[in-house]
Amino acid sequence: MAERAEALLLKFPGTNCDGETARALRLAGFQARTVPVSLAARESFEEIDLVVLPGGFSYGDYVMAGRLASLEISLRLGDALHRFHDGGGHVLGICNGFQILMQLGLLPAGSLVENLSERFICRWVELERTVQDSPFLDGLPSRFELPIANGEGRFITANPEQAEEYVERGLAAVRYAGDVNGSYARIAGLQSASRRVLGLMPHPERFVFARQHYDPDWNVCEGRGWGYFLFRSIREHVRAAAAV
Amino acid sequence: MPIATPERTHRSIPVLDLDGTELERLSAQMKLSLSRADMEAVRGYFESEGRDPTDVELEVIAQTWSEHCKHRIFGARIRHEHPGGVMEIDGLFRSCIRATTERVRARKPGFVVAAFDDNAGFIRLDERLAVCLKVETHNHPSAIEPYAGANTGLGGVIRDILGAGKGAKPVGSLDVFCFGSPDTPSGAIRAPGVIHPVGILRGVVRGVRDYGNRMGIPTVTGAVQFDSAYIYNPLVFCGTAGVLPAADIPKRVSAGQILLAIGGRTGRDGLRGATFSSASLNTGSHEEDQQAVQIGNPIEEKKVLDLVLEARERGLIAFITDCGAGGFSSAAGEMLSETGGEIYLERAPLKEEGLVSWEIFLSESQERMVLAVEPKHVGALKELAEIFETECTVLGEADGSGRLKVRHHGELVCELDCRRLHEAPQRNLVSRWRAPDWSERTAGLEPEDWNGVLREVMADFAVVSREPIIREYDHEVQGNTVLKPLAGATGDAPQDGAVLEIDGSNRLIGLAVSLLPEWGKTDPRAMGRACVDECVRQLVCLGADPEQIALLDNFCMGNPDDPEQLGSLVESVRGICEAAEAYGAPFISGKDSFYNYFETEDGPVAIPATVLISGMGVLEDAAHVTGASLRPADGSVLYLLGRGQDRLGGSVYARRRGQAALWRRPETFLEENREIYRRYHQALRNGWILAAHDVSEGGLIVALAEMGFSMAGGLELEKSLGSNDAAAELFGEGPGRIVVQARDEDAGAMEKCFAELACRRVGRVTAAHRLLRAPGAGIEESLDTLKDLWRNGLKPYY
Amino acid sequence: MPKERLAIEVSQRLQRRRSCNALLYVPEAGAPAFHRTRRYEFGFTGSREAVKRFARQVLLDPVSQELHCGEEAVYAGYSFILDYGMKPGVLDLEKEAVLQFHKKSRDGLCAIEALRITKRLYIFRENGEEPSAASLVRDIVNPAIHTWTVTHADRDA
Repeated sequence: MAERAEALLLKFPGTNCDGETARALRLAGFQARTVPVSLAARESFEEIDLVVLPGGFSYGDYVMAGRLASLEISLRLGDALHRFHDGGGHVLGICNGFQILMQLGLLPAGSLVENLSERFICRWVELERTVQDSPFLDGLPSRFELPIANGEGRFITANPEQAEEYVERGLAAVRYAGDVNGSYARIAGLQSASRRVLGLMPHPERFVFARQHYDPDWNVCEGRGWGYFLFRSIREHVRAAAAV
Repeated sequence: MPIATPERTHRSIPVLDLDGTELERLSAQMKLSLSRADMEAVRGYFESEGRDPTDVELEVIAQTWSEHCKHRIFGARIRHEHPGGVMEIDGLFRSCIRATTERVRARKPGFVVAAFDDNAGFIRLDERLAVCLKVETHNHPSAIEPYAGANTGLGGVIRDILGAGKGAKPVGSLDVFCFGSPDTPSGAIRAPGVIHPVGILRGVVRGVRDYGNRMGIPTVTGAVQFDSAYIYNPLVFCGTAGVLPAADIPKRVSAGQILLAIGGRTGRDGLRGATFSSASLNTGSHEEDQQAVQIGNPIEEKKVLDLVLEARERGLIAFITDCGAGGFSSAAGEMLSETGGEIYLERAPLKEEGLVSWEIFLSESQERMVLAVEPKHVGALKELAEIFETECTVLGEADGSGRLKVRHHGELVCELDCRRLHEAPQRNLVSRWRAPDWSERTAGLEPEDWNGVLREVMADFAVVSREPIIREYDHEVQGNTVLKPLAGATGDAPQDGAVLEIDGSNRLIGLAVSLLPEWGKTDPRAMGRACVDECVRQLVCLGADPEQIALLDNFCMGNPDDPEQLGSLVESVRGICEAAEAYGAPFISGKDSFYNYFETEDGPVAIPATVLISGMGVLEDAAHVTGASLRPADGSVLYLLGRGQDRLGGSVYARRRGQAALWRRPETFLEENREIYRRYHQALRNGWILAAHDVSEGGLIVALAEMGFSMAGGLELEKSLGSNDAAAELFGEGPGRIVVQARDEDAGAMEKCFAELACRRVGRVTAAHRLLRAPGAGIEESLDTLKDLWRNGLKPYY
Repeated sequence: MPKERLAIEVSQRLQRRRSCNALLYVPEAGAPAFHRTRRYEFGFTGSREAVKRFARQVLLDPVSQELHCGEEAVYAGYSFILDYGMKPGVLDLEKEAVLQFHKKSRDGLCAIEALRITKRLYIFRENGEEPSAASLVRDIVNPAIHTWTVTHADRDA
């Protein structure tokens, strides 16, 4: 069964990127299944290689982005997600999913707060891959582009030094090439010390085909977009892990 | 948990013994907005029933016959005087708009799948799928509370799509606004309580943002018009497109089926929306009608969306419609109009206690849909409601009796003959249209410094970038926005619309909008023709097949009882119908909004008759998607397709010289344009077209500059261009024109393709500089300077 | 059971004092500056500590925010305070979300029966004259959906 790789997408009321994220996962060779949180149970994570928290506005993101969803996970599933991770599972949180993971404590401490401009920002950004050891980012070059779309994407820590420390320790997996929203240390994506959890504000699922790029002349990797390589990286990684 | 309901939930209203005057008084007392003739018709109906109506029945009739629901102005018999004579129009909708569509449908069998008879019109996308589009206005609520008004405006039109066929999937939204100018001085607002245009702008944009983004539906295209005519009556149009298997379009309620209410609860927060939107605004509106202000709950609607799409895919839905104006009464009325059936009001989940029968039945609380399903599917629907964390309640059933019976705690509170209910008396109106006294363009107004004029036009509110607004919207969620509202090599240059991929199809859809209120002030018929042309032309530029374009018409105007104002509406209807028929682009849906006038200290202010044309076009191949930004091809050739004219009326150039209203509007050469669009599409299929942009606000020179905003090089224009009449050639806004970029090696083929048509070589792309050079008019301007002016125009205000 | 009250105010640690021109529709010379906070007024029965615990768990982001209990002003030196929130009967989505979660997560120690959420602006004089509340109220508050109060600083204090 080494060929199979199972991804589970956890959907909350207000999650709205599950469709295109499942599409991207399948394109990269995953079996992808979306599970509404009302049907999720501790057992849901058995036989799963990758849990994905897709983008959207879980429970409307009222109070603050990801807050109520993370409380809901704790309430319904207890520490099931932590156990899944401790048992070797991989977790990917995109945009709202990243915000939820921050609240759940599956990533280094910090917070995603309102963008410095106090605006929602929907645009494409230049990104830097700053680590060599992420199973999600293997197949990506050191510089790539993805779209962002969020109102609360500014990554902060208790003090700016802590964010710099994340960079030094190889936890700041993806950084903006320029200042986009006031994030400390330009952090756009964070990985856990285990490397098996990645939180990402940009949307890789929106750039799996070259034609999804804003420039009609962009065609760097034979019809694929950078996001595709993220999903393929993790796909190959879990396949290799399963084969061992 | 059931909420207790008061004992007496309805009452009988004596009408049988009332005379006309007393009936009129009763209508006013109950705020029914029914005329004397209407009330007499009501009395006639109950005479034949042999009893007096209940308050529930009167409210249902008032709602059903309201302008908002019944479009009685568009159904009225109108005697229209115009310079060519007198026309008798038996319903603008029936005899003009629908008749145009019927003639086009006869010419193009199979293309239009449904028009005017469902929540939205559908056209054929491919063998399996159909696509639909609906646009609504939410003007009055947005004037009073911009955030909430726009929020519920978008929420409402999304529900229209969810209720189209057996539940279409919303795939993209558009928003179009008409506001007062953002730099309006506070003192210029001549009525208390009116919100400054900047407040309207910010509130409305955030309202659209917070609903659309949370729903996960990309807001992909739109427009903003700024004009002092809209200070008191801002216009807010929200539209949504959807996709559905064509087999799921026909829907029918049969006897024995169960009616289910899903989504939000019913409360007093949504009473009298339909009658409210059919009346004019005044200062008091901002205080009295606060009951009409609702805040949308997008997550509630998202849960409904998830449920509906899943239920439809599993074949559980027989019929679905949204609770829009009129709430349960219009939804149930529509669903039970043939079979008849019973509704039990005590079953409706309520937000608060103490609602009487008519309040529950008529409430327009947001985020509710009504479904008809087979009894065996009720369990599955309830299960889906649990999964998606929303509510699903059995409201009643269809019984085959032909009559709508509404019960509340066992008592019959409303029993109406559904078919007779829809027979509102036809209104008789008069309208008049006189052509204005045009003045000829005079010499002496011509400036010396065309560079200065270009900079001035580029920074005009009619031209500047909507970027601050566009970035607030998630325009890429769902991952299918292949041509984005801002694109080109730098991702920030303007496009003519948006193109969406459709999951499960190789075909794509283009969306575009057009409105020209400045034209409408003095020549509404020219406005109608030009709007249809611009919308079609934008879709053609994007890569849509000109033979597969469908349109929507949304009209807004002031007081229809004023013959001059109504005359301008009639003229604009004539204009759009002439153009739509010539282009073979049928109307598949439309809406109208009246009474957009406001009583100020200086007297009533009405908006000019404004028409928004929105369009949807099919692109047969992803390779046809064409942007408006020049591609990196040094030495490539720029062509202007379409005939030039010396008329400048309505243009930004004329406006800035105070002459907009006086100079004649350009012509729209329908047959000639249609042929150009046909050939353009042929050239596109042959792979000769690199980029294309429509010439619109600001004229040719602005279009050329915009095309150059995102490339590395510059534009070198022909010496002949602008050497004779620079104002007309460079700044004229005549319709029917497209700027096209083609490779040098395809120049011969292009010129042959457009032989004997208006096709003029206007310049070249050069890698030598980053300038826009038009030596004929002495223009030499940095593209970066122009881009900054264009990009930063709105920033200080939003 | 008597209903008790608890007021909580949440401020942003990273927020800078900014010109009110960001809030006004027509910029004014010498416009005052503002700080924004959010206030939650709970009506509850049961343990006060349990309500505080709930508030910390649900409302506070310890990295970016500070939570203050009680009525004392969070900032000093202001000219006046503008508090505004949804008027009764108008949907407050945040309130609904908080109350819904409270229902789901009930621990039996407290029952929150009412919640009112208001936005609070502390207005500070900047160079110009003593600021007036009129233009701020006109542009920020909409009587169609909001109720509001303006509280001037106690100048004798």
